[in-house]
Amino acid sequence: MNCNQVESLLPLYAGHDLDARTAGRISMHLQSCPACTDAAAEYRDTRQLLEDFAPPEFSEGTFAGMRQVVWRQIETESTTPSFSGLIGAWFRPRLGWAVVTAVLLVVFALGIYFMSDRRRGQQPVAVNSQEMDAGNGQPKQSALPAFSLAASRENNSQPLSDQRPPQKRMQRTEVRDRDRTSSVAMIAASAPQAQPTTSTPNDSISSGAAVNGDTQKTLRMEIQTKNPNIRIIWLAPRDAKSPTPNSRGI
Amino acid sequence: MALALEIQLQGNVLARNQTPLALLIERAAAGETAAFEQIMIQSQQRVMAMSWRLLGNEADARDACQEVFLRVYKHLRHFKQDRDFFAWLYRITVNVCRDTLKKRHLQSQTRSIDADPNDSVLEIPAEQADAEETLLQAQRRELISRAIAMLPFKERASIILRDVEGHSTEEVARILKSSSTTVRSQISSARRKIRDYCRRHQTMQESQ
Repeated sequence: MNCNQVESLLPLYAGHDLDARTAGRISMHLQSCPACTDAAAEYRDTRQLLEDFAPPEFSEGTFAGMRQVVWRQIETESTTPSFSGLIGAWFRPRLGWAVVTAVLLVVFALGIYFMSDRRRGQQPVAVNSQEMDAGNGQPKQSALPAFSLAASRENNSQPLSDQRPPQKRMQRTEVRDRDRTSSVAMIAASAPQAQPTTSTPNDSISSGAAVNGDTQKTLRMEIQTKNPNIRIIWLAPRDAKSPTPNSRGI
Repeated sequence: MALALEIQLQGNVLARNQTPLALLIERAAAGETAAFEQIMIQSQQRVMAMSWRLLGNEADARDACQEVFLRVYKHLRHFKQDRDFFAWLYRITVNVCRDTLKKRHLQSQTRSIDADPNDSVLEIPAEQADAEETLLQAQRRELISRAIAMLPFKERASIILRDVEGHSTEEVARILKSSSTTVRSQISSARRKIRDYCRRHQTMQESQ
């Protein structure tokens, strides 16, 4: 071992922190190297100083005061709830109220939802341009082709869950379809060759067949709106003039 | 009869004072305040000395000691009986002292290496017969205290536990939750720094 290696290991050698083999090699080097021997002596002195590094004598009064302070703090902390305890205590009595409030809110929301759903079911959704004869309840004979807007809930076989679009959207759709119906009616009214046909709303909705069974003379056109509940059926005589180009976009 | 009763009472007191630490810990963990008081009495000197060595003054050491026992009281029920209680206590002490140093920024206020060690030598009454020896001892203590105060905290804790408290390297590693190799390296570095500091101080004294 050379001096540099020994010098790097001397702090541990002085504290007996080296294995026996390494310590033996250092001891052999120290026998032949006065400089390293002096350095080792310095480390031994330093270690001796550290071992003698005793704290001052603390009086019994110091310890008694310290213990008193500890007990006082323990008592204070036991009487004063901790931060987490405070939060828990704040939530504990209110948790029941929160649960009850949440349940009531859910019940209230469900009630409103079902009530509005029932009211929507009672509203007449179908829009029919045909005018019913007040006397016998039969459809009134009209010079116009018959248009029916089939949106009756009774004739719809879809489950109830599929019939729940938002009410505003439903109303908008109805308004749009009413506009379409009226525009088609205007177009049809402008065609003087149109032959009157007779139909009932149920016929036009359920079967979609030509009115009066006269399929040869009647042209049937169905327009499905975005709303699956609303379908526009247009019946017109075959020999009638084709609709104006403006009506094709309906 | 009275004498016999007195002897028996003294024996009971003696037996109570010599209660094994494990039993005291068990009773204190169950909430017995007298048992915890006994634990404090048995360990206060060690905790106070260790705190003083790490922090360098009595006021901080007392505060640290209070905090150590508060933490011990809080976590005593989680202490496993198969572990070394004093190693656990030393670890808490080291942690508390480290927190104290961080909190009060004592590390930045530690005395400079170049400062004169004779600045704050304790005043020793000249009337004492061994006044000279006491003065010398106080100077040595002051010297080592300054040398230790300049060390980084980990090296400081390692060297105090190893060379001052007399624990083995493995015990120090266990207390500090570190490896033996790391502790050995810290101890070696600390000894070298302290040696250099003492040598510089000696050179300054000789030049004066």
